[in-house]
Amino acid sequence: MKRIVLTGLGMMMMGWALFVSAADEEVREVAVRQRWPWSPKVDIHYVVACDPTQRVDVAVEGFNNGASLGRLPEASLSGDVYGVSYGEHHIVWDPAQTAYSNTPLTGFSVALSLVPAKTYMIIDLSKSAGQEGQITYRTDGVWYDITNRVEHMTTNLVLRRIEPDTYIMGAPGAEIKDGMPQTQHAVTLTQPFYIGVFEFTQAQCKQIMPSYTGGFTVDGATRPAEKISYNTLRGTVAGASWPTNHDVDATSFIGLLRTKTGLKGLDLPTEAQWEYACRAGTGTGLNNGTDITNSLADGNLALLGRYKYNGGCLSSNRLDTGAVVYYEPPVTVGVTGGTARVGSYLPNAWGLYDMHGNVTEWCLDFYTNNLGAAAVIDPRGPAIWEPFLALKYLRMRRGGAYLSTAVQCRSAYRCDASASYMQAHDAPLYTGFRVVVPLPLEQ
Amino acid sequence: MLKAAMCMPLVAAVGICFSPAGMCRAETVTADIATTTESWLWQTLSTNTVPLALNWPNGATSAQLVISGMNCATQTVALTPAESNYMWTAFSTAAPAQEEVYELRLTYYEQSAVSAVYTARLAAVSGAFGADTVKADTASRAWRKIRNDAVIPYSALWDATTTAATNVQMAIAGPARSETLFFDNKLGYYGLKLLNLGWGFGTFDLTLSFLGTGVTRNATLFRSEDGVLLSLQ
Repeated sequence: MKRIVLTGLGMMMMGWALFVSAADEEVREVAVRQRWPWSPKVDIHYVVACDPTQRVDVAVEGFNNGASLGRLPEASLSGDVYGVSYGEHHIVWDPAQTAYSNTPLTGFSVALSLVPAKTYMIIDLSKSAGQEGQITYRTDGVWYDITNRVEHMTTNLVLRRIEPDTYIMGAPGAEIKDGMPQTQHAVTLTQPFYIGVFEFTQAQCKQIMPSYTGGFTVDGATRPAEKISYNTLRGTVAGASWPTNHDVDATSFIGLLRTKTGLKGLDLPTEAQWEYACRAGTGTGLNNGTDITNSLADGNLALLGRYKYNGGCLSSNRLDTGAVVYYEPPVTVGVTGGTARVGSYLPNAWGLYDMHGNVTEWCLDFYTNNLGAAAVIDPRGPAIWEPFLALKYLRMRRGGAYLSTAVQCRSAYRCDASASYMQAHDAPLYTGFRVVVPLPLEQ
Repeated sequence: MLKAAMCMPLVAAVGICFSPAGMCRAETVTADIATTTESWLWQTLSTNTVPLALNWPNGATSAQLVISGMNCATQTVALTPAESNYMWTAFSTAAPAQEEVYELRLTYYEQSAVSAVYTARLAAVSGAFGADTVKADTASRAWRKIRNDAVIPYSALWDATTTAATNVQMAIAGPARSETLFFDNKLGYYGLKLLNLGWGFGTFDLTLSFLGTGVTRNATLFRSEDGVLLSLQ
């Protein structure tokens, strides 16, 4: 592919022709410099020449006087490591986070290798951390036939990588809305993260907590886990610490999942991450580029997820008036009522299923009524819990559920959880979760 | 096929052009119409020969290019409108023998009157030609040690608290003299030349001020009298 580039900036420059073929990704002009005497951090500047539609990850190998130091730990690198495209890029290496913090490197250089971006992470939940083949990757753009293999909803946990960007969180004035304010504001997410393609299923839960029960029982293996509280997921001691840190109780669900996978950063999504992943680049009420046209029943939503009026609730006619009434189905209802098997409806543009409807999904954030209009970067929610009536320690939920109306299933809809829902014994049906794994990986 | 690249000198030539705004650089390989001069790669030499493009203002009859550095003799080149570029040889070897910051000044004349002046600052640093020295232990004496000349980087983009800085200022308080430098760009290199300039031996206090933010960075260096020359690793 031939591309003419100009250097611009009011300079009196000529243009050069740059010939780049789609199969000719290349790293050029690598320059390494420590921020001496100001900081021990090391800047690595480089240029990627590739097709502008391609995204690649960068592996950094260090050398000292020609002797390999091995691949620098991902946790010690920041900047343009993941999902980079053509042009100038910048990585920062922090030697203080490695074994070299006390060893001067007299001849430090790096070799940068480009690898295809790992779009999907597949975790075999039947294996333990470090076991060969436990974590594998795919580089597909969108893995559309993932729903054809039931193991991806039972014994495997599949997560899709989401590249960081700035987006508008909240709903525009014209959108049909309900509930607490959904004030539009710019949110910048600076780090990529993996997020579950599906809501966590009952079968997957049992891989982690064999004693787990909850959710609809018929064909329950591939239906979302429910009746699982925030406290069960993260614990009540260390797990109460968000947003201060990512700590969880070791015996909590996520604590056990971290131990099983070796992924120390695995957690619930923040509200900002959840909505960004749900929208998949859309600015509309639903993530397929449409808006609901009715706050109750909506044909656009019916394509995207299970909610009240497409099987989530059962219906019957009142004997006296003949009016149709909807009611919550028993836990023994088949997959045509209540929750659907995960992946039964259309995914969004990033291949994520059931972001609208099925079960509402726990987020990390403490409750706050109004997120405000100010632009934010990597928001973590309020620092302390905000009381709502006489309740406390509320956390946020998103997405709507099988018994929600259309307005409650929108991308921007925000829902808190009453305190009792936080407790294991009172956790409701219709509340589940999906997990995220932030990059760089903490292992 | 994905290729790996070491930090090694490149064969491709680098095209340089001047801008009244300060640094500028054009590459035969860099691709991005959005590239700005606030970029390390713009100011870092990766080759020893640099073609300098000349775009003569209307009416200019002559030009003078002056190139100076910490350790090299000052070059003065007379240019005429018939020349559209000048091939500058920064150093004769594939990699520089020592680190250097070059100051380039291009003056266009219309007869004897100055028509326009352009400047640029380019650095030849070890990490662009092979390997850098990384002293990771900031509490060690090695971190503070300075012998002779040094290339000191600065950047308002290292931290989110300073990215909004309008300009950067570096104050150097040495044992025998002090200096305050004002940079019209947010990032770059400064060549601190110590030899034979009356700086003395002992403690040097450096302060980097990011104007418009109120944020400063500090560093303390110690220059000993052992007289060992800094050499490029």
